[in-house]
Amino acid sequence: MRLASSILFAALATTFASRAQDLRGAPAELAAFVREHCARCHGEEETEADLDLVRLVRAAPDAADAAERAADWLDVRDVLSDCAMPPEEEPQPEPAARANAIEQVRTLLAALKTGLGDDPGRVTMRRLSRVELANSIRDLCGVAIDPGELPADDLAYGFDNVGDALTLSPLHLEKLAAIAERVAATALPEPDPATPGALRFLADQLTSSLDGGARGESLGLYTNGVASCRAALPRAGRYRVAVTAWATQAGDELARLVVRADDRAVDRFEVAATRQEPGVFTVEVDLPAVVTLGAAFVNDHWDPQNQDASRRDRNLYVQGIEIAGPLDPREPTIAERWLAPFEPSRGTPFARARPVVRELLRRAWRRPGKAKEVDRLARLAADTTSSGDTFRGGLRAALAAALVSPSFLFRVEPQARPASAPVDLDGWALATRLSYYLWSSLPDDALLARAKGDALRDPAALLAESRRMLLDPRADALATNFAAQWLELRKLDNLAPDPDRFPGYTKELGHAMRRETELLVRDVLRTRRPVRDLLLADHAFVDATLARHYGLDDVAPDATNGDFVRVELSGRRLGGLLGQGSILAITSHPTRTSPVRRGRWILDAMLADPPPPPAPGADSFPPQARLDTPADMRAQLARHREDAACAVCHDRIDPLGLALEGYDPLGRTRVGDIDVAGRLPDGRSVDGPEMLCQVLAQGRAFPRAVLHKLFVFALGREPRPADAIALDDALAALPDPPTLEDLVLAVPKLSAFRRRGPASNQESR
Amino acid sequence: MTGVLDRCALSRRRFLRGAGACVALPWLDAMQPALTRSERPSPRALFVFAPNGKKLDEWRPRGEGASAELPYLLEPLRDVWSELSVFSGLAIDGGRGHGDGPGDHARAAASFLTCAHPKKTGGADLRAGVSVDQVLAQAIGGASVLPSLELGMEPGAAAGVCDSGYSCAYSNNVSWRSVGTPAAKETDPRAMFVRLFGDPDEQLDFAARSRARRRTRSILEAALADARDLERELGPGDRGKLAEYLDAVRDVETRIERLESESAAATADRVDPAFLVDAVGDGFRGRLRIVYELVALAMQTGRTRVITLMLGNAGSDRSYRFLGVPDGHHSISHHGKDPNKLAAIRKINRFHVEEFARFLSRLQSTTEQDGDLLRHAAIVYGCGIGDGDRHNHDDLPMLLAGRAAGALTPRGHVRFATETPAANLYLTILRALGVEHAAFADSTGTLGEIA
Repeated sequence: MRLASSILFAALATTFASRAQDLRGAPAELAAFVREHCARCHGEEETEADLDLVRLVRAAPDAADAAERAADWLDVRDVLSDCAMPPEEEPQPEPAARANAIEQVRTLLAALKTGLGDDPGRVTMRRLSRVELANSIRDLCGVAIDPGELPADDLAYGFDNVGDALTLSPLHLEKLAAIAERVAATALPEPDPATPGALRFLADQLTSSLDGGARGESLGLYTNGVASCRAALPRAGRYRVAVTAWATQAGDELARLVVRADDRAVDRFEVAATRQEPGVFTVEVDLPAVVTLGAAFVNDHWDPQNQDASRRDRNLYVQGIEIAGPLDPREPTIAERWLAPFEPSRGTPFARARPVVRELLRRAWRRPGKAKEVDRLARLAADTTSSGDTFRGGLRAALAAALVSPSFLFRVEPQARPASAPVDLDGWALATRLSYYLWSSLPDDALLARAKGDALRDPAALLAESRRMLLDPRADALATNFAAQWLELRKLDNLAPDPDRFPGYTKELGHAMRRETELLVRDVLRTRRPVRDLLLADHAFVDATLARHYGLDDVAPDATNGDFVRVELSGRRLGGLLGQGSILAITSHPTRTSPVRRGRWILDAMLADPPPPPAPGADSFPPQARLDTPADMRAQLARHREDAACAVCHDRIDPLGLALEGYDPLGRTRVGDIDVAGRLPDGRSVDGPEMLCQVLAQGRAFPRAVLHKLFVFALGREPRPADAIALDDALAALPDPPTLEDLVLAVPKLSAFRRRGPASNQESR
Repeated sequence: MTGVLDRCALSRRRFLRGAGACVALPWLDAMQPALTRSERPSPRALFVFAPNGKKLDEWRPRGEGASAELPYLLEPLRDVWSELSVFSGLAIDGGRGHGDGPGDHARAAASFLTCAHPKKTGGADLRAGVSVDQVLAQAIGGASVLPSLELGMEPGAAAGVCDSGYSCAYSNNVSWRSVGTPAAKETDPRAMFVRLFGDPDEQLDFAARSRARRRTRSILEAALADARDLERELGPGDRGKLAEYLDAVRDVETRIERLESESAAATADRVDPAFLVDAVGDGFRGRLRIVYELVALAMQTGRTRVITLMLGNAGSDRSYRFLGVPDGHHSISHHGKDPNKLAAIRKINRFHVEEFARFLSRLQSTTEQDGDLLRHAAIVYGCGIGDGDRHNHDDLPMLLAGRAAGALTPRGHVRFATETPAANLYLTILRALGVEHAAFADSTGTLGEIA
């Protein structure tokens, strides 16, 4: 058998002489290493993890299954690099031998990569996700739309911007058309009305962050909480916000009211007013066009023993919120600003519309419009005008049409000619890929200026442009869109912890948790910290709600105003992702923690190596399994792992999750003596959260996972083996340890990012 | 997600017009108690998908035919029993793994109305089949304002992975327009209302509305011309995406044409939106009732003849706290015969049947020419998996309510040979509604028992 395949190898080696040349010698040495350290479990006596290294070593370097072999070799390289194999109880190779083997695998991979060709892979034309659409409209027109108006985008590979899953139905289109017309009306308005309007939300129209509470003429905040309303204003501008409120008093200070616009505290008041004579608390403030206004009660106090029955309970009652305005003269809208230079005052409507439309298309479609396209929309504007509308009205129609056009709604990339060859993206398509990657939005003026011509195709120019864009606030989308999906933060929106067992979860707390994680990601990115700080940070960003939730009130004195502040933790709790309420909550059941979910989340999000799903029928605990205490849970999981079929994965999953058992389903530290010890299959100990984070932060596994997720987000597809090799090369070229910024900037450098594969070479997975 | 009935949002237009204070639903006075027109009854179809299966011994009637004894889960349907057929033995083979491994929930939804075996993919190259409601919509939907209406109680999964290597598109949709394109569903009751009956806040007269429609059409026409230009420049893969777009634009254009051709009188036919706020604050139950009421109104007014409703996405992990079930539905559906979990599952299943029964009674009490709305309907209620703990795709809990205006005959409990394709039921319904297809998916014939 061995002889036969050697002969076969020799025969094939002749055929692939030039390629085999590079490998000659290397396989023999590598084969010896594999025989000594790997083969017994992976090929000879067993084929654990479905990996037959004996066969892999002997495999001929023909191209047929190059992709599969590359994937296997990548695994081998990973476990060797991370010292995850051979298992601890087995004899370990000398460090030099290990390094040598890794180097040989690399050489092999490099050869395989050549065999895999330079196909940059195919990216299915992507419809803008609803978040990207909202951002694009915001940046193009200065108009806020609520992404929730559109049907949810279906996820693929954990992300909502994957072309294949971004389908488009009549329901979408109907809503997109309505949105386009509404946006056009706001972006290109007729002049402001002579008298400003007012919008009033009464108590029964306000949303309370608390469960229950008095309702009626006033909304009662019986503990710290916020009464809020989401208002769609005629435009961004200056408004007078008036909160009508009164309070009952207790303790030595008056009830305090904080008026908030979105997450921002805009003013604070002491409320002495009484039910009989409610007070009106007024503040003038600049607001965005769509805003959540809140009246927050921030200093709850209860003094049940007080002699005076009327001074036992400090509560705030909100009767209403009124927003009047806009008070300031109307600034030109963003759209008006960029179209102004292109709007000649004379000529036929068609002639006047043409230059405006040309500029509109360059911006909205991220490329110059063709003469035919420009004329079409200019004609629409002219026809609308001549049918009785104003010229402005005509431009509105053209803008709306540009926004429902596929050239806006889809990220169209030019096709290879001939269709069988990969093609370099032109400057426009490259700029578009870059801006949706870094900003989740369309290119700005500066980027469009560089998109023209070939400037961006120079890798150095692309990098410089990426750096510029990362300094822009729009790059926060990497935290609020990319990371929120990568880390599954959107699950917080639908979280429903059992209030009987784990009281205290409010929408407000959920938002604060999400924000905390986003702020950590943003901070690590902006301050160019190593990506591993996401796991190892010893500080946290908290607002008052979160500080209280974590029991950090004492170190977060400034957090009482509703803003987020950075607090140093000095080891009091974990500052990294795994100590954050967001992650701990989304990986719990409503009634209990789930070490399995937590472990699975770590494997997927932190290591990009999710375990397969359990077999049907093997995915529940036995009847009446006791899971009430961490000790019960640990015992139950241990019993579960006695089944070898379960142990295959759960030996890997459970210790990760069990290390976090010190945190309850809301991420609060649990009291009592909780066993958090565990050992990974490779023998490393993960006794408790700190050690777990240290283990995860070691080596390249975590940066590699982040890079993997960035790749999926940037390109809307999973990395194929050729991509995985390229990603690994990219990672190897980065400083050690890499910063999050390094990783973000590594993706646009990839050939797969700058080029586009032939359409005919569709992958069907 | 945002509140279902965000009243701030309700008032948006009011404010945009500068009309001043947002007071509680002032338009109600202006709205006529509507629905006085009598329509000639034409059969209407509704398909209701319930997630996570049922406990079959609590679902299956004892005995056969109309005299069968109703088990616990079906008790709430006693009042409408004479209009029902409950089936044993129906299977959807496409939902099975066929070597694709786990992912039964994703397959359960994707195969529920398509009876196709969905292609296992995390994203690239989605493929299921055309669902029975869309076959109906294409054949008989043309006469209604909305050829079909896709509704659900849960938006798509917000994050992560839905089911074992299957894109969330499979778990979140039962309705598929084409083999590769699911028909997205509306999950916001107010948006459902606006789609069906127009914006109650928008008080345009007929002429103004007509002008607005013309403008929308001219905008869509320009976009359509763009798309045709673009089509020539795209490769085959991307052309498929553009085909979805073209299809959607044409569909919306047709809808606008139909609205335009409606008489002024018909447009004035208003539905009172008061019920939209009746149950605010009542949580899931209240919202479900509103949605059922919208379904009833859509059927009653003939705005559409074909509706799908997902009571939850496949594998839904909703907690039903108002039923005393704080744990997630999916988690406890893997009950492992644990009595506590079984009791919780029982509550959820019973709740869904109760609300469905309430809805059927609402239809029955709505008289139309030659009968009532229920008699004129063909309503399928069921699950794509049998028992949530077993993930089986045979002996599915499914029932049919209504007579499709006389084309179908309720038979009580009907037992078929095992592995009878559910596609046979769908083919029977297609025929009952006048669509003379020879076959549907893996059908082997019609169900003579009820035809």
